[in-house]
Amino acid sequence: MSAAVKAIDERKLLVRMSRGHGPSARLLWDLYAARLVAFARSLLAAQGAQQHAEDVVQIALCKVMQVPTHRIRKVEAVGPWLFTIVRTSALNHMRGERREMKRRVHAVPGTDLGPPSSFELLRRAVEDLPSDEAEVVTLRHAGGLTFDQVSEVLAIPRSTAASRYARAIERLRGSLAEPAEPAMPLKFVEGQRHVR
Amino acid sequence: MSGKPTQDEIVRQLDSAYDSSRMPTYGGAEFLAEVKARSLSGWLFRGMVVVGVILLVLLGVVGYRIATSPPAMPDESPAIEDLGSGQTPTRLGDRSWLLGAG
Repeated sequence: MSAAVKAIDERKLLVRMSRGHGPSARLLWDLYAARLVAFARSLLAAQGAQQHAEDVVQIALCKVMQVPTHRIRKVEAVGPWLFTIVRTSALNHMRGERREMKRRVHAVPGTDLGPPSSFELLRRAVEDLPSDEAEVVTLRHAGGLTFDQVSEVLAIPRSTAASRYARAIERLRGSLAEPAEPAMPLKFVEGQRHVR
Repeated sequence: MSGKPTQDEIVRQLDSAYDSSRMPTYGGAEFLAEVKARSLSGWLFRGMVVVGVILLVLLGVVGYRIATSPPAMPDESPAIEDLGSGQTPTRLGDRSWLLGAG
C-alpha cells in the first residue's frame, strides 16, 4: 500500500470517527494509541505523570472529534497532525498538574507483573531523557516521523530536531552501557548522583 | 573494554522497542464511549431531521390539496321563502312564475 493511499484512508478514518463511526474509531485507536501514548509519556515524564498518558491521548482524540469535517479533509499527514494535538493536550495537562507534581517520580513498575522487558527498560530510558530530547526520539521511532515532520510537530528547525536526536542517542548510549564502567553515570536521575 | 553500544545498535533497539507488536496495548474505553455517544446523538439528530422533513412534506401536500380543491357549490339554489306568503317556495332561477304559469 502506498503512503498516499494510506494517508487518504487514515483521513477517511478520521472523518468517519469524527462523525461517531465506532469501527473507524476503534481502528484508528488500534493504529495510533500505543505510539501516541508513548509520545505523551515522554512529555509527561518530566513531571512524573506518565500514568496519565492514556487519558491525555483520549482527551486529544475526543478533541479531534470536535474538529469540523472540512478541516479534517485538509489534513495532509494524519500522523504528524495527531502527534501535534496530543502534544498540545499533554502540555495543557502538565500546566494543570504542575502544582501537584512537586517532585519527579521515575517510572516504577508498581502494577506491572513480572520484570520489565528489555524493550520496556529502553522505553523508560527514553522517558528519563530530557523531555525535549525524549519527544524527538519518540516521534522518530514510535511515530515513525521524518525529521521534517518532527520539526513541524515541535515547531522547531529541522537542524535543532536532528541535534536533539543526536544528543539523545548519545545519552542513551551512556545509560545503556554495560555496568562495567560505573564511573560514567550518563543516565540522569534527578536527586541522585552517582558517587563512587 | 567499553560496554557502550554503538549508535546503530541504539537506533536498532529503539526501532524494536517502539515496534507496534512490542508496545503495550490500551483500551481507550472513555474515548470509544465518547464516539458511541456521538454516534447516538448523530442518529438522533438525523432521525429528527427525517421526521421534520416528513412533516413538512405532509403539510405541503395537505396545503396543496386545500388550496387547489374547487369551492364547494350548493347542489340547489337557495330557497326564497319570504317572497310571498302562502306561496310555495320559489327557487332562484325558476322564473316560471313570471310567465304566469301555475
